[in-house]
Amino acid sequence: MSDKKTEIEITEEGNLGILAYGDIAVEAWRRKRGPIKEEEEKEVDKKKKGSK
Amino acid sequence: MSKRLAKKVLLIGWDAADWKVMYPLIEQGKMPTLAKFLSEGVHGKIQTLDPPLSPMLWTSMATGYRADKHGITGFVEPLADNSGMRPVTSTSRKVKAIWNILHQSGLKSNVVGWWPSNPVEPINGVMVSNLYQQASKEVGENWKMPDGTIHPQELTEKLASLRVHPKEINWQHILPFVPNLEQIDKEKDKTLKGIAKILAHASSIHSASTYLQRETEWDFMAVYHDAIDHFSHLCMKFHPPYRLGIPKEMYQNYNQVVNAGYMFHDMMLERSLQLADEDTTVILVSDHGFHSDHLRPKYFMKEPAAPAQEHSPFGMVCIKGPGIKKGEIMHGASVLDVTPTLLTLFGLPIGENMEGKPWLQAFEEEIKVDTIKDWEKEEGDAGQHPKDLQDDPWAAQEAMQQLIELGYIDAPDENIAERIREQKQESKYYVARNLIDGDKYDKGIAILEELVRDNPREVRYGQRLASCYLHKKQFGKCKDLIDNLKDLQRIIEEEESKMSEEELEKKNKSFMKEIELPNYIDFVEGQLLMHLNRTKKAMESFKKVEEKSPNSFDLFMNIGKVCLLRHKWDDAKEYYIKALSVDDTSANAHHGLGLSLLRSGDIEGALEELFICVTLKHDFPNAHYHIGEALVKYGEKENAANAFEAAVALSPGMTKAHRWLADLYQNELNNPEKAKVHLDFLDKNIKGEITIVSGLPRSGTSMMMQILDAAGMDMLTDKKREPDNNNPKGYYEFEPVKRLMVDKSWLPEAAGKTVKIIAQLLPFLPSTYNYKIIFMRRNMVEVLRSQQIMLGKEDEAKAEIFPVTLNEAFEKQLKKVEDWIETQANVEILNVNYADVIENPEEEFESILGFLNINGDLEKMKNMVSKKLYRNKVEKK
Repeated sequence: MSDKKTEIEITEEGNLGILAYGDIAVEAWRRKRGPIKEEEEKEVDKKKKGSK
Repeated sequence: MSKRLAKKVLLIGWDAADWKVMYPLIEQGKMPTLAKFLSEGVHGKIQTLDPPLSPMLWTSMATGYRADKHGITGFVEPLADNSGMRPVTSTSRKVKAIWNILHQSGLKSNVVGWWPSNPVEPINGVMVSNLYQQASKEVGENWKMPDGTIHPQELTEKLASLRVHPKEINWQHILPFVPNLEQIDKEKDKTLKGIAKILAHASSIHSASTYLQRETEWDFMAVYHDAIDHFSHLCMKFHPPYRLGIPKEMYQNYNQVVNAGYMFHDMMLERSLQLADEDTTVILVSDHGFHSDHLRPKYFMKEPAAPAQEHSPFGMVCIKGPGIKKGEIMHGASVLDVTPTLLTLFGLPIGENMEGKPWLQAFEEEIKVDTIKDWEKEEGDAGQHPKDLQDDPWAAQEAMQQLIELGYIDAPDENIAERIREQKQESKYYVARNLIDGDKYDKGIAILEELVRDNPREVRYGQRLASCYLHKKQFGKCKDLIDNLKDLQRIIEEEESKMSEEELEKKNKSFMKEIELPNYIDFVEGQLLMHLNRTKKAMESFKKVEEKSPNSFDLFMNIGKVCLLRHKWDDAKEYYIKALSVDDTSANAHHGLGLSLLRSGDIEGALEELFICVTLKHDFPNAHYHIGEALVKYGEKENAANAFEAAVALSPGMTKAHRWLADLYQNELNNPEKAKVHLDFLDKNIKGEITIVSGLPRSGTSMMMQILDAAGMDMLTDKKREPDNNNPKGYYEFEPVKRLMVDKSWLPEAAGKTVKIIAQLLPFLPSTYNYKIIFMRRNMVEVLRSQQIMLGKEDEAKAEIFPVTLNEAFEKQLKKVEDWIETQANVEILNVNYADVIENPEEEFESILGFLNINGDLEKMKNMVSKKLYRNKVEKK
C-alpha cells in the first residue's frame, strides 16, 4: 500500500490538474465545490414539482 | 523455474497512442513525464494486428492469442434471446487472461477498465469493468453502475463515488483543449460535449486506478484508457497541418484537442508513477497508432467499424523498472508479446501455443524463459467466470436460430434478425483477417470462401479472398475471382446509375462516395500481373490505384518492385522513398531503395540504405548480399567479403554469394584457404547453370525454345520429335528429359545450355545445379483446348468440353511446382505470358534478355513469333 501524497491546489471551479491527480483530488474538489449547479437546479425543479 | 524479475508490474494502456504525435510534444517539453520515462527505460513501436479493432486487440494483449483462440471477434455480440445486440462481454472470452494465470499462480491483480471486462471476473484482487465510467443517467439522478461492474462487491459504493460525470466537466477543464472557447456557441456545438464526455471517462478510470493503487495490495495492475483513441476520432481531422476540405472555423476551434488530450495523459501518468513504488516495473502500451499526418484518410471504405481505417499499424510501447535497459530503443514488438512479457517478468512460463514473445532485448541481463505446453490445460482455480456463464454468443445465436427454424420460438423482428446476421458475417470476417494477419492462410481462406459463397454481393469479402489466393499463388482462382468482382462492380454501378438522387444518397448515407472498392480490385490485380511478370499491365493497375489512394505503403512497395523488374531505377527510387515517408522503419523499403540506388550507380547512397535495412532486420540475407555487391564497387573488398559471409551464414545455399567469396579471396584478398572453402562448396554443390524453358504442355514452351535459339542460346535438343501441324516449327525436345524422375545422368550435358522441361518434372531436378527457369503462362482454357486438339479431340475442344477435373488438377500441379520453386535457393524464375509474347514481343524479349543477362537479336527473335499460330485463343467476352 502506498500513502504517498503530493499537495495540489484545489480550487472551487476545478481544473485539469485535479482530474489528473486522481481520487484524492477529485474528492477534495467536490467537497470544496459542493453539488454542481445543474444538480442544484434539478433539485429545485423536483421540489417545485413536488410542492404542486 | 525462471526467477521473478519484477516485484510489481503496472501496465497502462493508452488506446491509439502514436509516437508521431508524442515525439513533437516531447520535444516541445509538453509531455515531461513521458520524456523522463523514455530516458529511464526502453521504448519503441508496437505492431498491431489486423483488423485493428480495439476489443480484439486488448484481448490479444491480455491473453497472448489471436481472435480465433480468444473468442472476442468484434465490438458487439447477440443477446442471449436473439432480441438484439449488446457490446461484447468478458464471458465470450474463451481463454485465460493474464490476471487469471496470475490468480492461478497465487498473485493478486487489479484490473481497471480493460476492454472487454464486463461482467467482472472473481479474481484474486479487484476488477473494475469497462462499463464503469459510462454515464447513462443524469448526474442528479441515481447514477447506478450496470451489473457486473465491480469485483469484489464491497468496493462498489466507494468506486461508484469516484466516477466523474460529464456534467462535472466545466469550461475550466475544456479551455486547455479549446482555447477559442469563448467564441463557440456552447449550446449547439456537439464537439464540446464530446470532449467533456471523453475527459469525464478518462478521469473516472484514473480516479479508480489511483484509489486502488494507493489502497490495495497488488502484484499486477492493468489500467486501460480509451480517451486518446476517442479524442483522435473526434478531432484528428482538425489536427495541424490544415488539410483542404476541412471547415476553417472548425479547424481554428479544435486544432489543439488531440495535443491537449495527450498532455492530459502525461499529467495522469505523472500521478500513476508517483504512486508506484520504485521497484515497480511499468509498461505503457497502445494497441495501434492513429494517422495524424498526410495519411489521414479522407474517405472511409464502406464497411462496419469503418473509423478503424484511421488507425495506423504501429502503436507505442515503453517499459522501465529494475533490470530494464535505460534510454534504448526496442524493435519488433507486437501486441501479442504483452502477456509473454508479463509472464516472464513474474518468472512464470510462457504458453508454447502463445503467438508472441517476451521483449528480451529490453533486459539488461540475459533472461531464461520457461515454457509450458498450454495454460488452458493447467487445472485449478483461475478466477474465471463459472463455466455456465462462459459462452460463445454466436454459437448460442445459431442454436437459437435452429429453435426458430424448428418453430419452437418466434423469430425476432426482421430488421433485428438481419442486423444479427450481418454482424455474424462481419465477426467471421474479422476472424479470417486476424488469421491471415498471423499467416494462417488456409484457415482464413476457408472462412472467406464461406463468406463469399453466402454473401456474393459483398465485394470486400471477395477482395480479401482474391488477395489470399494471390498470396498462396493460386493464380487461376485469383484471376477468376477478380473477374467476378469486376463484373459485380459493373452491375452495382449500373444499378446506381438507375437510382434516383434520393435513393443514391440513402445508399451512401454516412459514407463519403465509396471509391476504394474498385481501387482495391485493381491493387490485387496489379499484384497478380506482377507475379505473372506482366509488369507493364501491373503498372497500369497500380497507377489507377495511386490516383485514388495516393498514400498507401503497400502500393508504393509494389510499384517500387515493378520498377525494379522493369529496370527503371529512378522510378523505383521515387516509390521506395514514398514508402519510407509512410514507414521509415520498414527494412524492406530501405532494401528496395538501397537496391535501386545500387543499380543506378549511387554506391554511397545504396550503402547507407542497406546498412539501415540490416540494422532494422539483421536476418535479411539478400540485403547483406547487396551490401557486398556495393562494397565491391566501392573498392572495399575486405568488407565486401564480410558482407557476403554474413549472407551465406544466413542463407548457406546462396551460391551467388559463394561465387563472390571465392573470387574475392582468390583474386583480391590473397586468401587461397578461404577461397578453397567456397570453391569446394561450388564444386560440390553446383556443377553448372542450366537454362530451362518450362510450363504446362501447350503453353508456348516450344515457341520460347525457338525464340531463345534465335537469341543465340545454346540449345539441348535431339530433334527426335519431328515438326508437325501442332508445332510446325519443331518441338525442341530432348528425349532423356522424360526420364528425369529416375535418371539424372544426362544433366551434365545440359550445363550451360537451354533445355525444355515440363512443369510437373521440375521438382525432380537436383540441387547441384543453378537453374534459370523461363516459365510459360497461358490461359488454362487455351492450354486444355490445344491439348485436346493435339489428342485428336477437335470436336470436344471446339465445344470446350474438357474433363472437369483436369483444370483443377493442373492448377494443383502448378501450385506444387510454385511451392517447390519458392524453397529453392538455386532457382531463379521469370514468368512469361504466352499472350504477351504474341501481343508485345519486344517488351517481353527485353525482360527475357535481362533475365538471362545476354544480348540477343530482337529482330531474329521476333521472327519466331507468329500470330497465326495463336489458334486456340480465348476471346474476351
